[in-house]
Amino acid sequence: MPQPASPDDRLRTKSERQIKRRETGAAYLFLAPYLALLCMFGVFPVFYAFGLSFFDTIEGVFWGVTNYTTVLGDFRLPRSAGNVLLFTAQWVTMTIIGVSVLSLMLDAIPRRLATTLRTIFFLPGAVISSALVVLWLFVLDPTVSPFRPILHLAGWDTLQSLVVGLGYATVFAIMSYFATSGGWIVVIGGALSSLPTEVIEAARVDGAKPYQIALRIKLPMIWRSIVLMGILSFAAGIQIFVEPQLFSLAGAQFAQPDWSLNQLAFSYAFQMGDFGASAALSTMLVMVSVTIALVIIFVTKFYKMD
Amino acid sequence: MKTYRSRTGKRVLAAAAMLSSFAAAALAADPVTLTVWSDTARLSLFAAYDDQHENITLNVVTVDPKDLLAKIQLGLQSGAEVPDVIFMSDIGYTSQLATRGSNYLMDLTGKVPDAKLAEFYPNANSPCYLNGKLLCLRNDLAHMIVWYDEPLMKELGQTVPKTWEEFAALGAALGPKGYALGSAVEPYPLISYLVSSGCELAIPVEGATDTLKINATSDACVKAATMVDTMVANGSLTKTGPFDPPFVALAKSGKVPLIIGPTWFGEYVIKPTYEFKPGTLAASVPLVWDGQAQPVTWSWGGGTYGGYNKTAHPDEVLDLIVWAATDVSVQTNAVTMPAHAPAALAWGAKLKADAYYANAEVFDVEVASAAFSHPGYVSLRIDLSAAIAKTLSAAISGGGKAVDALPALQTELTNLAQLNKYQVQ
Amino acid sequence: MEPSLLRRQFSLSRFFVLACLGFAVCFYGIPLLWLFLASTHNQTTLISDPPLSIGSWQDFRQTWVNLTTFNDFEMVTWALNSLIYTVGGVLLAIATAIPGGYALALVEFPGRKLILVLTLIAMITPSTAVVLPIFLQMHFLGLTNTYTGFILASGFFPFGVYLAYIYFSTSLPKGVMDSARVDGCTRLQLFTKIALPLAKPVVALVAFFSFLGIWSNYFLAFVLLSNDSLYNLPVGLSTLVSGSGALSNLPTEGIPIKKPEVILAAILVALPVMIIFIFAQGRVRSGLLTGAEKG
Repeated sequence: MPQPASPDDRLRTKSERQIKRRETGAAYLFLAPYLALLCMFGVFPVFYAFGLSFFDTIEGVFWGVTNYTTVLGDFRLPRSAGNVLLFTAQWVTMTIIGVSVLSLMLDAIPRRLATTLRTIFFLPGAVISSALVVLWLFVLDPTVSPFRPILHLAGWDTLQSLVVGLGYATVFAIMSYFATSGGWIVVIGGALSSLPTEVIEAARVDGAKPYQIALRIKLPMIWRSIVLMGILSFAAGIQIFVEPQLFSLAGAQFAQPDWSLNQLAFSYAFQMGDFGASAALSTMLVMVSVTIALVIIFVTKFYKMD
Repeated sequence: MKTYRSRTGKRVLAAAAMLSSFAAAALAADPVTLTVWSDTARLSLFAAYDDQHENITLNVVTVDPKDLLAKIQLGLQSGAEVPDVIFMSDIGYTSQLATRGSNYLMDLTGKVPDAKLAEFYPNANSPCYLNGKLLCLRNDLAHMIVWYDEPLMKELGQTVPKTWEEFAALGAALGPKGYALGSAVEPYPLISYLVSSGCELAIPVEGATDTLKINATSDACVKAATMVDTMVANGSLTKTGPFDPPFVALAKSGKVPLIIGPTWFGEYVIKPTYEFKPGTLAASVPLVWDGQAQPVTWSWGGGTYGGYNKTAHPDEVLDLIVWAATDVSVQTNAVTMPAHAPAALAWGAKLKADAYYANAEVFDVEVASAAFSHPGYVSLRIDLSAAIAKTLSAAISGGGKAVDALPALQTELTNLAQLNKYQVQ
Repeated sequence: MEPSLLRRQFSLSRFFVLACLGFAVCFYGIPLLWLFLASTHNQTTLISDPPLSIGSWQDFRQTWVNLTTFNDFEMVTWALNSLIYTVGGVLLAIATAIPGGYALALVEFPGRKLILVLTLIAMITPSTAVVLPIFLQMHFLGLTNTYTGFILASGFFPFGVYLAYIYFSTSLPKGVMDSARVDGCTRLQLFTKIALPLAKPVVALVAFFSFLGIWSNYFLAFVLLSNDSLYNLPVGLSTLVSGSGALSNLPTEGIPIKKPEVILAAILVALPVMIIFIFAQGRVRSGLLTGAEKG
């Protein structure tokens, strides 16, 4: 609140303001390299794509929302959106449950064993996605899979029957979970081991069982990390591209060239040469991402200074 | 290293030419560099061209065939380097690189000598004609023929079918005994069963620009689809693909006496993967339906060469394309059967001499069958194979019937065609 | 140290936990094990032998030779490129993320919120959306098909800034900072004297995650590099694999690249990441510990 200032006060305010200005300048100096990259690879491309989405990119003519009507009128759009939502719902659910459960369990076993297991869980994340698809084509094929007995038990004797039985969305969700959950287990594990030990110790003294401690004390304390994980997974999930794109490696009868929204954007740009329509679809996907980002900011008070 | 050496050679040549005649030097020795985007299998072919042509240096870049379109789009959009000549591993690329959005391909109409064009097998260049214009030259053929295990067929007391009706009867006789005659879910064979009866999945209408005839529910389609359903039911067509481990195991154990496959199946699938014993594999011409005058057969693959319409060196580009597709000496060692007849004949000598096959007639069958290539095997902006996979293959592998999936196929194809700005009849 | 579950007497919950973890080990471990074992098979035994069986040393050697000698050891070039891109990109990511995150965490200045929001948005923006603009821009700057171009693009690592921001805003001992400030240092002078020495864990974290991203980056590399001598490993191997028809079953002659080679290629790309993770796990986790409460 502005106060009537004594000359002495004003002097202090002035010098403080000076410091403030200097600090602002220095902060931007520190940020300058990052900001340069942010503009080049973050801000500019998004705005460029946004601008592009209102143009006929072939003749360079402005044509308003034509690209948007083209994309929204595409008969493949509802189908792909449905696929992506179904996939994302399953994947996010698997991630939230799987990662939470495994992280809580790892937190309750001897540290050395937990470290070993965590490494095993993480390693699949090191395999690049195209190789992962190849790997899963073998693992899911009941005729050559190391899980053969289990798959046969479920009544699947060929890859076809498994894909028909599970559905593409579930197959892709399992593949994605396999690759990404290990990283999250490491992150959530970090959150768990930073919890104040006094509270947990107190609960144990009160006679709480390990599962009670896990569910009633640890879980509520890390819920923000879990929510963040869920939201980030959702944002990543709606961008699914590689798994359906490469699944045709299993054979042409599995080709899914327009299964996901990102595949549609890709096919507009690179197959039809219509970068405007591609930009329109991408812009809509970015909008979803931005909305998600704003939700994260709102939920976690991300920018708050302590 | 090699590039450097050949450049020096050219400089010496230029100097020599300059001594004799200034004008001639400008013509003969102007060194030209062409950028070529190739797949890995075609590298040696382009290297041979480079070696044989003093004044032309090829800058050959290996490009992932599935990324070819994307890379060209990026080049066209930015004005960055666009290749002068490309090898297209997918016949669909031709039409996808000749649209308003991606206007890449050079029009070869009237530029390739008619005599040369006449040397190609019938309909070999159909995938290169788009609305009457010639946009590429076909490298290799891949039409479907009948492959069979000669001693095994004898042992089973069966004769090789000439008609689809006989093929179905063979399936009815052998299917229940655990023998298979092919896959019911792999899109290309499935398309070949369907179109053999005159079923029109997406056939260009002669004389009308960008117009397709789509009638996937016609009697012809129903007839073929019913045959597939019957054969799936008696087990002679499998619900697995021809490269899936169960089918491969079946083939290796002598349970696949006969299969309809493209010309490259013998050398690249049956020999190395199905491991038919040497001296057993024979081939026969495509099947006809009762009452049909002659067979029509679909193809599975075949690449093409195309050039850039804004290249700085159109003459050299044309020369390279024609050479790549028709040079007899280089095509003799090609991977698959050349589309150019004289080259194919030279290429086939190796096949004739190969003791792996049951007889020397396999190549003759391939040549004879080339005459029956379906004129509708053309370059489309829609992915026919994926549409089949999503409808018919999915239905069959899910325990359903191909016949019941035909309306879904019709809808899918019509929608895809309209999305890609085709008129649909 | 809490007494561990294992050392207690048998209980249903203990059994349940072990069963779940055992199942998880199978789920994650068996496919990986399969991947490593599969590289010891040849194209035929890969299918005919029982899964999880060990092939032969000869087959592995042959696969290795086939893969590495392809096109005059082109793979060595790609591996070297990958190394250059990754080292350059990781250094750039650290150099931009650490000071950036520090400034965002400790100084309240106009524009700070906007930068944070943009950072978060950049973290989750679909890559296909921005690929074309990035390509056009880099082409305009003459940076396509250059080491610099790809290093610049991969050095942009908003997640690193986010990590550094979280780290500095939660872990710098406030008391030390305040007393140093009283001594006349600005908060930014504190960076070199106090923050940097303390920043080791977050440097490790940023290095690790940016390494993960850059080493296996396919999409950007695919767009920015169209000269095969500049390819990184993922793009190079993918070109090799799909160009050779190893997975599509289409005919190619004389290119001995089949499924075992594809599998070995996958292992080669994954191995450095795996090794670095195993060695860096402790550091990465200690970095995460401090940042965890806020995130």
